[in-house]
Amino acid sequence: MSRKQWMDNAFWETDEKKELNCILELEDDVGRVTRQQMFLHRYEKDGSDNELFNEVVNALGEDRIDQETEDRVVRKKAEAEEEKMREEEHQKARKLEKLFNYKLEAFEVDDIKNSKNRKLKAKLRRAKSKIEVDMYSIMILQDQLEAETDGKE
Amino acid sequence: MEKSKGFIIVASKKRNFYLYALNLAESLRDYYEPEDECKICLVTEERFLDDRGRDVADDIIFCDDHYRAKLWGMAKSPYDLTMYIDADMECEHEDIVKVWDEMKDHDLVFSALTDDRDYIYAERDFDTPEGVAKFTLCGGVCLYDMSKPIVREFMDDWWDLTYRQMNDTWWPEGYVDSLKSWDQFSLWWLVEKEEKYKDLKVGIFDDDLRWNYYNALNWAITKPETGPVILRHFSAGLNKDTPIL
Repeated sequence: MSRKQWMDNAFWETDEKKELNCILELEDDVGRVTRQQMFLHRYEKDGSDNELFNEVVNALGEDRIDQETEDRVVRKKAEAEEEKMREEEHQKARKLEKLFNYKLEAFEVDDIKNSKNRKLKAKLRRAKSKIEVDMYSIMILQDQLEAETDGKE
Repeated sequence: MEKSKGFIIVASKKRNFYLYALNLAESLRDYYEPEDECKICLVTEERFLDDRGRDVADDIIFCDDHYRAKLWGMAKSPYDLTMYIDADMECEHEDIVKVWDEMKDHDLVFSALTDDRDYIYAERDFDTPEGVAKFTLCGGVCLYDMSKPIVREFMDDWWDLTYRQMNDTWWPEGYVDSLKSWDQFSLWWLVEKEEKYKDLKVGIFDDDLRWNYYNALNWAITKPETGPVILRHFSAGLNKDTPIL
């Protein structure tokens, strides 16, 4: 037996409630179910009522569509906020990976590699940005130069 | 007598792992107070060792270039309470000194592999003759008590079983071959299937994300609940084959 049903997640596209987004579920004689998303206008081009639009509103009720529209706005806003937060965290993670690799490169520079100044090397390792890494790298190089000069004297 | 305590880091096969290991060891010393009580054992190949490794490590053990030399090294720990940490991790918080408190009355402690973190693993769910099973323990960090004979035996068996599953001298019926490359499988087998380890007390770190926080893009949304990250895992974002400099 075939069946036709409007799904209860229909929502208004605009505040004026002139456009409706809805899904029609159809089941054929052998039980195959298909779904069709529809975008319906309240009025036809000639200004007459759209029968299909009225059918959906009558089947689901205007209050229910109002509620679903409201819930959807809240849901979409929360999803957008979560996506934004996720993206920000992803960017932070990427930045940290790059910084980690950059620090390891710095630690492979001979003068830094051979430096015994643990305090400065610890500061370099804790650096939160490339500029900080560069700054502590220079300080370690200076420290190495001074150590060499002192050694000569 | 008080149990000795120390960290073990294994760096084999690729020079980059050696450099990661040096960085990890140095970072442990940066944050561990008092620093002179921070004991570190570096397990590495002789060809990689340089003055930096000699300076930062209290104990050095040479290993070969086996893909899972990590397990061989873990079983050789010179410390009673041992904290194994993957080389591509970094310490970033002074709470590292509290790691020994996590031992409690467990024999081994891991971080968990939960459903919301499972995408970090290529293979987690698998078929067994008894139905579908999944890995639940993550081996990135492992705290274990080598003063207990059963734990020493377990660590030896974990290495031995992994070695044998990888060279095809051991494999149970009814399990797909793709699992052979995972030391997670040998770990799962020993914990779930071996009669002699049925009473082994395997625990999970409290707020385990603090102890093994993957700096992976998809994981960044998950945060520790009780404090900042202590050990960050850079596994996914590093190019292990390209020379660092």
